[in-house]
This record gives sequence, C-alpha cells and structure tokens, in this order.
Amino acid sequence: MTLAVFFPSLMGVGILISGALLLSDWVRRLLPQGSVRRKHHVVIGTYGAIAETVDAAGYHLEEPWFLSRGLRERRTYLLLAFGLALAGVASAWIGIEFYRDPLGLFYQSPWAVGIGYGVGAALVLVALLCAFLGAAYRSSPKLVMRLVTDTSLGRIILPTEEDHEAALDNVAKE
Amino acid sequence: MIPTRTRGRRLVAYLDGSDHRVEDIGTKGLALNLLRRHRYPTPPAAIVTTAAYETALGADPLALLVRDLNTWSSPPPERTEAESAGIQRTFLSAKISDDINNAIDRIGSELLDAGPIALIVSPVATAAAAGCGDEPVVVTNLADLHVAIRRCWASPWMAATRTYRRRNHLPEATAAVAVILQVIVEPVWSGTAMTTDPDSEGHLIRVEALPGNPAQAGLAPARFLVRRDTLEIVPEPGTQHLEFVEALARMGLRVEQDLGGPQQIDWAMTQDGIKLLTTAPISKPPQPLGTDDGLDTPEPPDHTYTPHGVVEMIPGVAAPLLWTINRPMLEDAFRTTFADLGAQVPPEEQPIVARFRGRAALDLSAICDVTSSLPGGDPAEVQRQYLGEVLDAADSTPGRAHVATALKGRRIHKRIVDEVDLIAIAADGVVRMEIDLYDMPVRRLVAYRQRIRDLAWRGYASEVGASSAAGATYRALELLLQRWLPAEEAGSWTQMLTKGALDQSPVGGARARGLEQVLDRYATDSIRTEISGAGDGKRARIAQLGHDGTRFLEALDRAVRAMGSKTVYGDETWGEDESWVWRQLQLLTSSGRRPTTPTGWKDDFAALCRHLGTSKRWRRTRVITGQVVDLRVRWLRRQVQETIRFIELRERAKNALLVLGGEERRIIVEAARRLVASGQIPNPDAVRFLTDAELERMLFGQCGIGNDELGKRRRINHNCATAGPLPDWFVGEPAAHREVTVHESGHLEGWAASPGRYTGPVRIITSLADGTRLQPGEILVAHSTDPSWTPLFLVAGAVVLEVGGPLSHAAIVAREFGLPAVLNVRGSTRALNQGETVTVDGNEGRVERHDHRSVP
Repeated sequence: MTLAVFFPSLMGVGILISGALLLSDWVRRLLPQGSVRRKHHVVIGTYGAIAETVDAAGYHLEEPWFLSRGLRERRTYLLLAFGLALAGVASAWIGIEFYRDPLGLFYQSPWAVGIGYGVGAALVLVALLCAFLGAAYRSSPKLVMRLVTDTSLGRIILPTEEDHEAALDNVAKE
Repeated sequence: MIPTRTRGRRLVAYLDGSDHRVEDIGTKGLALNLLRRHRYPTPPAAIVTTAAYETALGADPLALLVRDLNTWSSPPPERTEAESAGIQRTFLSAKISDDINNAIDRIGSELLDAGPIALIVSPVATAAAAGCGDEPVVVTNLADLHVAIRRCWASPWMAATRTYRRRNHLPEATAAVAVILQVIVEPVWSGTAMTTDPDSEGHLIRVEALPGNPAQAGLAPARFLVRRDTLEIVPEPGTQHLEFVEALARMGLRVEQDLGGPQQIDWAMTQDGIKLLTTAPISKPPQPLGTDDGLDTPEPPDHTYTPHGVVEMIPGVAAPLLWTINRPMLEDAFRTTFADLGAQVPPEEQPIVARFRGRAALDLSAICDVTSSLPGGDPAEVQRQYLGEVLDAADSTPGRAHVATALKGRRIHKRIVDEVDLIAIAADGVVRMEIDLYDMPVRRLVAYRQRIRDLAWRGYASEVGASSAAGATYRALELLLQRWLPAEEAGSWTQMLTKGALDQSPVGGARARGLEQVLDRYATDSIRTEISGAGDGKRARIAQLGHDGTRFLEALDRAVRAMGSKTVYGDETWGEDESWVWRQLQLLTSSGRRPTTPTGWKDDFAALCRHLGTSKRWRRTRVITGQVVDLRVRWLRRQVQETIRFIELRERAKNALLVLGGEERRIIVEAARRLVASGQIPNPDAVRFLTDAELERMLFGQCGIGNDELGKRRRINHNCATAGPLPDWFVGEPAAHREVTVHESGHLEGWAASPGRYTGPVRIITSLADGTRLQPGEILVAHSTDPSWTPLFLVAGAVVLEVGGPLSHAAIVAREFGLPAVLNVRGSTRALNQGETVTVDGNEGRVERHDHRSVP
C-alpha cells in the first residue's frame, strides 16, 4: 500500500518539476534580455566614473551617444498607440459599467467613474503621444525626443566593443 | 708629447697605488688607490682629476654658468627639470681645452683596449656631492667617454645637488669632483661586504651576493654572516653555500686593517677570482634597526593571523608607500563586505589587515568570528579555505542558515557583478586615454591620483566580494560532488571543471596572450625578423617599416598598458622597461609558445556526467524520483556555471585593480621625478619609503623627509626582506620564518593545483624584472604571482609557488594553460637551487628533487 502510494506520488512530483523546468527554459530562451536595464545602468555609471576621473586631470570626455535611449521601431509606436487607446477607452467604459451596475459594489459611486475616466484619459494621452511618434518618428520635436531618450518610450542601446572604443577616443585636453 | 698636467697638477692619472691627494682624486678615488697600493686585486682604473674639472670650469662659458648658479635660488619643482637640462646642454657644448681632451683620449683609449669602462663620480667632500649619482655610467668608445665625463662634471650643479648643499650649509668650493674610469669585469657573483655587520654587535662580517651583475634590480641578495674571530659562516636556513665567501671575508678584514677602520666593499667574483671594485669607510656603524618602521601592527592581541588571502594583494615586503596606499582600501573592502552580509564587523581599532615585519597578514580570528555571526557561516570552512587545515574544529560554531540570508546573498552577488563590470571598463577606459602627466600642475596630478584611488577603492571592495563568492561557490561545488564521489576525486573534478573559467574572459590567459595576439595579428615577416634580431633600437627600426610598423607598435603599446602593475603602485610595470617586452616577444617568436586552444568546461562536465552515470545508485535514484530532466545534473551545471562566473569576476576585478595600479604607479613615478628634480629625495626609488600622506605634502612643498630618515627606512625594509616570509599562521608576534616542508625522501610538498608532471630546470623569480630571465621550458619558482606575471606562464614548463590555493591566480591560469602546478610549497624559493633539475608532480602536489644532496 505504502509503495503503491509513495512511489507514484514521488515520481509524479519529479515529473511535474521536470515539466516546470522545461517550461522555464523555454521562456528564458524567448526572453534573453532580462538584464538589459541593469547593464545600461552599469554603462551609465562607468562613463560617469571615467568622465570624473579624466576631468580631474584636465581632460574632457564627450558623453557617448549610447547613454541615451533610442527610438523604437515605428510600428511598435503605432501598435502601442492602438493598444493604449483601446485600454483607455476600456478603462472609461468599465468605470461607467461599475457606476451603472445596481448589484455591484460601486453602484452610483462617483469614484468608479472618476478613476475610470482618469486612467482612461492618461492612457489615451500616452496613446496620442505614441501615435504622434509613430507618425513623425525621427522628425519629432525636441521635447518629444527628450521623452524618448530619457523614458521607457525609448529603447535601451547596449554598446558594442567598437562603440566603447569610439566613445573612449572622444576625449580632448581642456 | 701630450701634456697631462696643468700648473703642476695632473689632469689624469692611473690609480696604481702611487701618491695622490684627496683634493686631486676625491674620496672614492683615494680609497681605490689605497686598495691598489696594498696590492688587492682590483680592475685597472684611472682618474680624471679635480684639476681637469677645475680647469674646465675656470674658462667661459662654464665659469660664467657656475658663477650664476651660485647666486641663483633653487627653481620651483616644475622648472627644475628644464633648468637641469639647460645646465647639461651647456656642459656638453662648452669648449674645453685641448690639453684636457687629449689627456682623456690617451688614458681612455688605453683603458678601452681592455673592455668597456664604468665612470664613477669621486667627490672631494662626499656630502657636497650628494645627488651626483651613485650609479656608474658605462661607456664603450671615446666619444661616449667625453660626453659621460662632462655629465659627471655637471652633476654637482644640478638643482637637486645645489639645494642639498644649501640646506646643509656646505660651501660651493667643496663641489669639485674627479671621475674614476674603471675597466668593467664580468662577474659570476657580485655584491657588497661590510666588515662590521650593522645589525649585529660588531662580531660579524656581512656579505651580500647576487648572481651576475649587481645592476640586476629587484633581486633579493643572498646574505651571509661570517664570524670575525673564526671566519665561520653562521648557518641560516635556506642559504646556499658559496665557496668564496670565507676568502672574501678574510680579505675584508685585511682591508679594514690596512685602511684603518670598518669598510663597505663592493666586490665581484670573476673567473679569475675575487676583484675589489670600490671601498668606503663605515664611519659610524649604524645601530641595529630591527624590522619595524612604525607601520607594523602594534602589540597584536592573541589572535591568529595568516598571510594567505592577502599576499596576492600586497605581496612581499610592503614599503611605507605601498602599505599606506593599499591597507586602507583593503581594510575597508573587508569591512564593507562583512557589513553588506549583515555580519558583526570588528571594531575600528582592531585591524583585519595587519602588518608584521613589513608583510601583510589577515586577522583570521576576526574573520572566523565574523563568519560565525553569519547565518550558515562556518569558521572551520574559512580556516580550511585559507590554510588547507582546520586549527580549532572544537571552537567552530556554524551560524544558522535561513532564506533571508540566501536572498541577501543573491542581491550582493548581483551588485558585485555590476560593480566589477563598471570598474573593469572604467579602468581600461581611463588608461587607454594616455593622460599626459609630464606638464600637469601638481594640484591636478594629486586630484587625478585621488580619482584613480577612488576607482581602486571600489575595485578592492568588489574584488574582496568576488573572491569570497568565488571561494564559497567553489567549495559548494566540491561538497556537492562529495555526495556522489570520494573527497579526493571530487577535488580533482572541481579543479577540472573550473579550468576553463577564463576562456571567454578578457583577463587571465587571454590577457597574457595580449603580446601573442599582437604578434599574430600585426607582425609581418620583417617585423618578426627585427624582433628576433639582437641589439637595442628595435622600436625605431620597426617604426621605419611604415604603416605595418606603426600599427604593430600601437597595438603593442595598448597590450603593454593593459598589463598593469602588481597591486596599486607595486612593482615595475612592463611598460617601464621596454627591454622586458622585447625579450618576451623574442621568446614568443622563437620556440617557447604554448598551444592556444581554449579548454572549456563543457567537455569535462559531459565526462563527469558519464562518470556519474556509470553508478547504479545514481541511475536508480533518477528512476525512482521520476526525473525526466535530471535535476542533479542541472543543479551541478548551475553550480559549475556559478563558480566559473565568480572566478572570472574575481580575476576581472583583480585585473582592473592592476590596471589602475599601473596608472597610479605612473603618477607616482612622475611625482618621484619631480621630487628628485627639486632635491627633496635623493633618487626616484626613495619615494617607496615615503608614506602616502608624506608624498602628497612633499609635492606641495609642505614637508621634507631627511635622507637619514629615508636611509633608515630603506634599511628596515631590507631587514624585513632578509627576515623572510611570515609563517602560514601564527598567534601574536610571528616566528622567524616559514619552515620548509620537506618529505623524508627529500621532496618538497604542497597543494596539487594543476594536474600533470614535468621535469626541467628551476628558475627562481623574485620580481617581474627578474622574470624576463625565465627561459622556455624552465620551471617558474616564486613566492606568489599576479596577473601581471601571466605572460611568463606562456614560456614556463611548470609552476611552483610558496603560497596560494586552488583559487589563486596562478592555479587558475596554470590549469587554463595545462601547466603542472604545485602551490603552497613552503620555503621553495629558499630550498631549491637556481638551475637545479626537479620534477613537478601536479597530481600529487610534490616537487621531486633529483639530487638530494642539494637539500639545505
């Protein structure tokens, strides 16, 4: 009786864990860029340290271009705009539905409408920004481009060995 | 007839024992002449007298220059170099009477017929010519002889020498110098003999000997103490026997008697017997100074200390500058790591990094206490990792592990990874910019140094963190394997699995191959021909080869800069003495290259899995627990990857520190140049004996350290070097030195660090400068190594070190290169003889001697 229950259950656990591991391997292969943000922070810190050090010696290091984020693909912005606009409208609609539902917790609660509209408006605003970026792309005004280089609207660029070399050559004596 | 006299005084003379006055030939000339008079064996020598010097300086433009110099005040530090260059130019271009030139020609050509000659400045009053340069200048032809004599004449007028005279209220009149011309002999051994040993109570003679020429910087001389009454050599462990020491001591006593007082004699042992080169009286025998320069750890508590774990970071005797730069950084690195782990950090007044007899040691008791306070920390494991044995297992209380600590550990590991990445790129980036230091104002120089130090500070913290992580993961892998394999087999598999840790890394062996890669990528046939050829001036000749030559030299300079220095401001760097680099390139273009195929750990891992799979128990467990994917294999693989990752990180952090150390050294060499030029220190090497704070204050002209004090520190440093390395572990004050671990059969024993057997001749290397003497196939025997030594591994046949463990840099690189290596062979640098044939057994951890009689 013990063997009939114990071994199958032990094997069952083993098979389940094996399955979970295979699944996690598959996910990791699909999303290998998990540490990109951390690496980007390291690159920013590195160039800060180099610039400070050589500055003490009377040299000036130009800020490398890859410290700022770059534009994502045009279609990504358009897809984002569509998705965010949809989410914005959905948020407003859900808020209204909550307000109207006589059996719901938020029946005739102005908070439900307020939050739904607020979130919806914010999402639509970002969607408009993305749509604008998708349309204007490289010819976007400076203010919008600043949002790209400094926020998640932009894509992190990790420098190659050659990028590093080029950046380090960009130094001048004061 | 060529006139050799002026106003009755001789312009030149042979030092043949005839009558001379000190006013004419100076103090050193007089001593050498006296040796000759008493018929001691000395090489042929002559002298350009003070009469020649005074005649030359009596006529314009030198007369005018000297008169002006007597009235000038000392120039500021940044102008001293330019002023000195101007003075030398004037001396070199001045018209000097034909009588003097002809006299020098005559005597010079006679001496040059016998071989190259050395020029030694012989001042009339020793103190007045301080800073004139004690190092002899060697010339091989008449044209160079004239130039060298003029340089010797200019030396009393350099800014540093004038400043010294003024500070000591010495009259300018005593600045007259004669110049000794002495035929150079080819020594088999050379050194100094002091007829009264300064560290004994006057009953011993001290003889110091080096193989070959004494100019071999960095070599620690062999020291012999001989009783003055019986001429018996006082036996000292590890000192080899030299037949001629007794005869030399006897000769020294005779010189003392003939010259009327204790003497310091420079000597050379040639094929024709002993030659005395110079002698100088020991006017006031110095008092014994011991080994404490005031920086040693005072009255250590009853704690256990060990040099293991710190000797690679602060190797050998740490002179005041090296110690005061490195200790605070290392101490802080340990404390930061402990604090990050949430351990109880020892109080500030109890240093973790201590110093005894000038050498660094770790407070093992404090580290064990810290470990006990950590959840899961086992002090016994710490002792095993540092010493290879457990000292007090009964007192070992492992801390209790819990999940929060494991999570904290993961966070710290991530931070270490980021920090090492940052420091490594930043160090390479800064060094790559080739900051010009020569004209940099002092304030900027100091600020730049501080910034480099800030980076090094962070580098040390990440290096200590990465080292502990590497040690922990390595041991965890070993323990994991011990679940399925016997302990010894588990140890060997752990070594094999981590041998490719640096394959994909920009450091370790790949860095050592920097020179090799430069050769492979950029050296054309004509460049290779130039490299293989003999003689100097290779750089100039390669530069003339056009675009290929320029590209090659640029790549070479980059590779050399990346090699860095030993610790933060340690030994000389590859970049400082180009002859090392050319010699290494020459060896690499000839036969001594090591195969370059990366090893990788995956094949070994597959082999391990096959080995484990042969066990029925292993297979049965898998079936019973229903592991479709073998969890144990995944677990092992993960552990191997983790270990390799931290070993690589540790090496990368270490390497970044060395690169920063090279830059700091460049700054300090520049600072030393300025201090010498302004007469604040007698020679660039003296900067080692300043503390970090003193150096900075002296650069700003805010303090001065006298030559006497510097001399005292130098002697203490020498005493520390002579006292030998610290024991493996000790409580309180350390014992005399480490005992040699000799097996009954006469073999030496240590830790098997890299498998394989190799038989070859021994080459004992004490410094990087010394390392260039290593011939292809020789066995590298040293106290310890660091990444700046890695190029030597390319030509060595095997490696034997006095200290180190499985995770030492030497062990990792030796495994990577497939070199048999035995580490922690106590006293091996003293027990083995230069050139002796031994077999290094990296499987058993043994060095087999083929001639047992040579065991001391």
